[in-house]
Amino acid sequence: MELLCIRQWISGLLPTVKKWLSAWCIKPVGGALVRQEPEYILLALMGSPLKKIMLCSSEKEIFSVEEQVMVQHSVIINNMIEDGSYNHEESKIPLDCVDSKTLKKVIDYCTHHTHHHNDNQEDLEAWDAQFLNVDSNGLYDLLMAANYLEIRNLLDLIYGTIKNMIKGKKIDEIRRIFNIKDHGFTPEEEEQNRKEYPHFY
Amino acid sequence: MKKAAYSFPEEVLEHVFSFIVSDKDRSSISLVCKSWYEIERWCRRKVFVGNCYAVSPPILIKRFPELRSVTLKGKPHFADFNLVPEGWGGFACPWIRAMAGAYPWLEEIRLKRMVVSDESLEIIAKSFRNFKVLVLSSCEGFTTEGLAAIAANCRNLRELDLRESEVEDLSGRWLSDFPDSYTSLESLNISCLGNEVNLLALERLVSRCPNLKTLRLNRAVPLDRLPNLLRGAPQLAELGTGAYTSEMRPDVFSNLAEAFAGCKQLKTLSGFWDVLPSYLPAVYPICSQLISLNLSYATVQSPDLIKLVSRCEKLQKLWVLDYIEDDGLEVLAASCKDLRELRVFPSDPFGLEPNVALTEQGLVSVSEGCPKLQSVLYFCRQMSNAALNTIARNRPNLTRFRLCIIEPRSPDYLTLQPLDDGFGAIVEHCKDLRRLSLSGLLTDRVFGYIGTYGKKLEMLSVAFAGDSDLGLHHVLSGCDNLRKLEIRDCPFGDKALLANAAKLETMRSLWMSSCSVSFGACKVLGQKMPRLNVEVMDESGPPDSRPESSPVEKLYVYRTVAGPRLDMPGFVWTMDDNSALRIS
Repeated sequence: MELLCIRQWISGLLPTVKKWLSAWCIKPVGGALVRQEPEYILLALMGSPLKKIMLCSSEKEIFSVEEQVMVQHSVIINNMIEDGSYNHEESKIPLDCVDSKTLKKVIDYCTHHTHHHNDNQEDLEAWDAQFLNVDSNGLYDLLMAANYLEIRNLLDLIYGTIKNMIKGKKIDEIRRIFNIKDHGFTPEEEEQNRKEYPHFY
Repeated sequence: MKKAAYSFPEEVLEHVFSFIVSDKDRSSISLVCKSWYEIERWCRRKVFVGNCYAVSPPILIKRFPELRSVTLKGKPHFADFNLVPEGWGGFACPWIRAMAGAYPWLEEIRLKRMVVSDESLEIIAKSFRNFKVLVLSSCEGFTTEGLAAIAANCRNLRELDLRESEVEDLSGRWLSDFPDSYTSLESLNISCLGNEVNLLALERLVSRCPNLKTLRLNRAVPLDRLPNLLRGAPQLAELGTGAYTSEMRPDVFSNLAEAFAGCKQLKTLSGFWDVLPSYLPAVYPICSQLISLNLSYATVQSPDLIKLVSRCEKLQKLWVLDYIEDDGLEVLAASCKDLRELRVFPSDPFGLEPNVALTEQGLVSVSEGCPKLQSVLYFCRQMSNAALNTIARNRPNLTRFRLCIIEPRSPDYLTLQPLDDGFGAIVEHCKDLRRLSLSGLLTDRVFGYIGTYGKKLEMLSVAFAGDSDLGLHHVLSGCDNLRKLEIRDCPFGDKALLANAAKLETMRSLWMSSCSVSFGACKVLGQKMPRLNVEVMDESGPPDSRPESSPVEKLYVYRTVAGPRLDMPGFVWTMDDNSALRIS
């Protein structure tokens, strides 16, 4: 209940604050802020360095990203921050099952959605569509990463995309999109299927 | 990180598949590859079996072990016109027994044109703890005793719909078998029952079920009880009245009008048996919110129908008797711009002379005035190529067009020519046409048009048409998406059938009665196509007691993975790949 009030207060506060900040040329924090005390936010808005965290890909590459951004989107990272197992001075979060290319994309997604969350629906959807314009290998990697990091909205987006890769498509096309080279049916089974359901293929 | 050729893990696919629910898409998924087939079959919850003999209970259960909803259809469509003799088949019992054992969590059973016994209903009542939906559409074979078992035992029942079934109505008492604690009813359709139900029990049931959205009463529910029922369920969205007549008393009328006005969410009306026209205005308060109106039992004349229909500006679906006449249809065209479906039924189909002023003009008016019209079923006594042409050009968005000119082989009444060109225009312009019924005088030419243009056609009904096998050949070779073909009294024979045998495996079924298909050809077809069941019906005796060249009375061919059926009555023979004739 309290969190809800705080959020409403903050979102009411933000437009005014943003205007004030831009007058002072201070970069505002974007998006709805959920888990922080109002006093802290004001402090942050007044110019404290934005808290960053370090993520480490499977290829041992370090990515620095606003804590805010990852905490909002990834349940796993949020939990780590909350339970105090992350020390801002020293720690980096190792993500051994996410390679650099995918991690960069995941960070892109979270960052965009945090900073642009007030954009209109159409623009966000267009950005998402462009973001997911990858081959199915890339989609697979993103799915695994989103699943591991428990990023709900990215997961839903990817599931929706996979669904659209199947729904209404011809079977030969589905096989191509999903890179299915061996369908596993016997030649007789495949022939019979094609005979009985010619317009599916 | 080394990466092998990826594939999405099972849980991911299963999750994705759960968003894909249409039967077509599910079939598609299962054909992509073996591993998808496996995943899909375990997470399939809903299945539609268009022909109960195309598959068997054990095969279905083996493939889909976790179903929650099953729909089965039994007899062929022409059973509606009494062309399928009694005892033909479509027995639900073996299915219900098998499902009782395999699917303890089954929630929904929908059956159409099947024979359902009281025993089957009792099995349903006792076997499925979470049973929610029972729809028996045009079924037969059960009594109100079976209904009593359902009422007494199905605690979670949401829907009981007996639409157009033939029920042996032993007593209206069964309704009282719903326990007082039962409140989950959302939809009840008892319109087909002949006798009175216990009205007090009905009123109590209706008023204690807060989610009741659909209530279709039977004729025996008197009009003066309707207001009480409506007051008990002001949230109703769909209502079927009982007999719509009573002694004309002002208090009954005002009571009724008030009760209707209280149903702010009522969108669909049906029933209206024995209408007393002076009671029709009681529904005027809600006309502006109606989207569906079924007046196919309302024997009222055009002026009263016009007054009613002209108030229903949101109407999307209208079923009505031809009493509406051309004038009424003109008013409909002017008032109901949202109309999507029109069905006009004949009030006197067996009369020799027209009893109403309904002609092709009525349909032309509606096709002009209603831009969203997609589905038409129209009975009339005269038609012209010009009218059909106009209709086709006005409404290229038609998806279902069923025209029944009452007298067989009626020509264009203006030119006395066949109606080939008119129907040709329909298939040519209506590119998304999925269902077509032909009538009137027709030659092989119309079938040429259908084969050429009817690329999306899925169901075709033909009677008293064509000159030769060429007609049948055009349809079977041209209509890529054909699923159901039903033909009666046409000169179609062996050549076209045998030349297009392979096509039959891509269709659900073919029905041919009183045509020129010989017994010998049926045998050849049965032997050549092991995945088809070729059934010959002949009530005059075994077909092999006549020469091979004699035409068979009725032929029903359908694809199946279950082999020849074993429940055939004495007048049905299967032509399977044994050369010996098997008599069941």
